[in-house]
Amino acid sequence: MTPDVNMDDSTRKGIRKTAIILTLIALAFYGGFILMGVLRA
Amino acid sequence: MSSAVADAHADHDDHGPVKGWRRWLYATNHKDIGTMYLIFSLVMFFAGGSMALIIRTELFSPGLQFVIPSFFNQMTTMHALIMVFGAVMPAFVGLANWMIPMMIGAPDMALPRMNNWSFWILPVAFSILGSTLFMSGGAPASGWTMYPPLVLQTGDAFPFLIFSVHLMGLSSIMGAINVIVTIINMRAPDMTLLKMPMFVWTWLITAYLLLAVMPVLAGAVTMLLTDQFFGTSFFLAAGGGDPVMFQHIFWFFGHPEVYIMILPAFGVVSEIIPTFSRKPLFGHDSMVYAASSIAFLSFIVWAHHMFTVGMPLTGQMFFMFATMLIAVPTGVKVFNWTATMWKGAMTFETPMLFSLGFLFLFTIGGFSGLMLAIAPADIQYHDSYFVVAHFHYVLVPGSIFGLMAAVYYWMPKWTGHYYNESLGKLHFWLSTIFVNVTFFPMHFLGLAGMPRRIPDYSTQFADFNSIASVGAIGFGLSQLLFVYVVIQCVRKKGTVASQEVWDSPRGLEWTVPSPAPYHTFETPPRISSDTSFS
Repeated sequence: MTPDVNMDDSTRKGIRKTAIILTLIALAFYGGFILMGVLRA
Repeated sequence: MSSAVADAHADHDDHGPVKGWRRWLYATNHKDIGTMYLIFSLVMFFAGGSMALIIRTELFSPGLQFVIPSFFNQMTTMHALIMVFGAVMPAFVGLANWMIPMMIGAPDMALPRMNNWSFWILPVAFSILGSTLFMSGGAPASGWTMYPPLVLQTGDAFPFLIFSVHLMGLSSIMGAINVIVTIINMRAPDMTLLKMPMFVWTWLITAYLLLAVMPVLAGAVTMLLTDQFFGTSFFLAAGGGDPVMFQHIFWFFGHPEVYIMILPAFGVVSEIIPTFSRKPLFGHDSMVYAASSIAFLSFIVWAHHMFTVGMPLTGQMFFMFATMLIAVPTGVKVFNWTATMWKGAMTFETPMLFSLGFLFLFTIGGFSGLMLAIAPADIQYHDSYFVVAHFHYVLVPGSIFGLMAAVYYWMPKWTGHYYNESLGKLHFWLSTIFVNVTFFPMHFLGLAGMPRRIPDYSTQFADFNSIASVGAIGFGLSQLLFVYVVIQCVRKKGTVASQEVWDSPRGLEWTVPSPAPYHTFETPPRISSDTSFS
């Protein structure tokens, strides 16, 4: 969406919630694999 | 499911692009960003292709002719990194940017500023990677797999390699988040998940794969960095570390990466074959389940890349059979594409030709993959030219042909003009002939024992290497024709395209004018309950 185009509140909240969850998943994979390396080393 | 709504401010329909460089640097429009991704990937395709031609020129005949071995190794490494991360992946992200909002009836991607950022990181990443060619010790030369301890012998380029890989990963993760968030939250009302077109479905699955495995690659290269500069020993045997652990982590990323590069091509072909067969896609839902199964299985087969490191027999058996299992959902897809064409009123425009080329030649790559999955046989084939033949059949007439098909299919929608059909067909036939001349002899070379990643070889391999080099030069030159066709189309030299472009295609993208307006679907389209888009 071009930043100046409106969307309804529920869509905006849904976007924010999904984006945060996905970011946390990515960080968990990154941290998790490094932690695995640390525990194995 | 919810969706975007029409803007309360009345005048947004009139917003055109900003003039000049600001339009591109500050771009938030999905079509502009999609265009930038596609242009960037084309430039990278030629940069990586030039390196391939250096490799093939050196290998034209036995002995060292043109380059020294260390530079040859740099070329193999850079060719792979550029083609994987700079050409194929960004090209599919470009298609996703252009097409996903239009196919699901959304006004744009959900996170437009992040979209801008994820694109502009890429030129920076590849400038850094390219600059390593001029550094002391040269560019990385350990292969794109970056196995330690070899990669730790890289000269000044090492930290730049790690940084650029981090940036590429960051860009991909942000792109993946954007795709998932858009598809989950911004579909048109009544477009349920199983009504989504296959291209959107395959991209949704691809985005989840990206989200899961790009951080794993980032973790692996972060550990390489700390091993080199901060005294850790994750992968250094001398310090109690395990170099084989890197291979496990790398291929946990690397095998899903293969599907990241092919699943969107499956989606493209699933759009094109129904259009030119004038029939709906056979077994839409089973295609979705097959793509999902392939994605799941891609996480449990990684060690088939490393049978020769030594692993318990049960491990070899597990990874062998799990790998073979992928043939089942892949077979479902090939069957469904064939069934879609069955008794269809088929025509053979360029996108259809590339899709059929994909179908035949990708299947050859799939079959050689099955051969490589057999653990005892793989010990013979490992690190030979047979492997090079296999993955190039998957990636060139697979991913690249899928991309070419997509560009020819949607270019009239993007530009408002048809491309030159005769030249498009010529491009297809030249590409198909030369891709086989290049890569088919590599099967024989590998089976005869020629190892990969070497600049010189025994004279018994000379004939097939000469043929492969001629094919590579032909394939490279053929792609200049593609550039000419695209430029002619962008410059509006062809016939004006109608709104539908093709003969009754399915999908929301064909309900907007050609060329697609700068803003589309600011008001969500209405979809009837029995409408299917595949």
